[in-house]
Amino acid sequence: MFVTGVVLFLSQAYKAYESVFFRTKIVLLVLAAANALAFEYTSRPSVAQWDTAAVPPLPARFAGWASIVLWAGIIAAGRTMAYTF
Amino acid sequence: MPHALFPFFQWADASWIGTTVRNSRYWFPILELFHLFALTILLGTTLLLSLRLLGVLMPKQPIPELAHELAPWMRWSIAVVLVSGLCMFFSGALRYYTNISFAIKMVFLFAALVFHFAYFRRIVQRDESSVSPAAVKLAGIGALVLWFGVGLAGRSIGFVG
Repeated sequence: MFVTGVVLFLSQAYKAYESVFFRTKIVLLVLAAANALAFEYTSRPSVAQWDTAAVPPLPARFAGWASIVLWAGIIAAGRTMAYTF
Repeated sequence: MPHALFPFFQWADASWIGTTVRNSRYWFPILELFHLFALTILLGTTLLLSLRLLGVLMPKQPIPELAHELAPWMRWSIAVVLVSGLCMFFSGALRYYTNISFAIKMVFLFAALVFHFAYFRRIVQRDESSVSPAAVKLAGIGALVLWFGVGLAGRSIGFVG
């Protein structure tokens, strides 16, 4: 997705630059990456301790919800972008 | 599209749903977003379950357990995809009537639905040892080819017409 996305972006770079939805999408992508990195360094190392727990610790649950919301937002911004092109 | 279906396409295009979606700036994009969200869930769960059937991933996870876990996601994503898709179809029925990608998508869609409810769902509910390996493989490959065929043909509707 990263590679194909970059190529698609290169083919429409000016239109993308001007699009508020494209900018939103990039912000959300950065946030999704930050969320994944934060999970990797805070919750992931201790996963063995709560792997079978009924409810995972709050930071892990937050990372899960944030991931769903951010990626859904990325799809929404990306798709909406095409309507304004 | 077969000529016999033309009256249905005319009716859909002129229907209340069709005109409402067509005459609004927001309805189509909103429907398309729901269509896309549900589509990612449907293709994602289909991919997981099919690759399990093909023995590519989660070899220790029993198929019926995985299928049971994913069943509500598959069921609801199919429902949302169909409802949102129908509403979008109504809004442009006469345009889609002449769109070759749309016709191909419908062939894949009906094949995928029949395959899913008549075959795939029955195979994944049974213990792997009680079904022939070929039947399990067919379920996995069939679901992947048909559902991703729907997705690819669907995406190309916008490029053709």
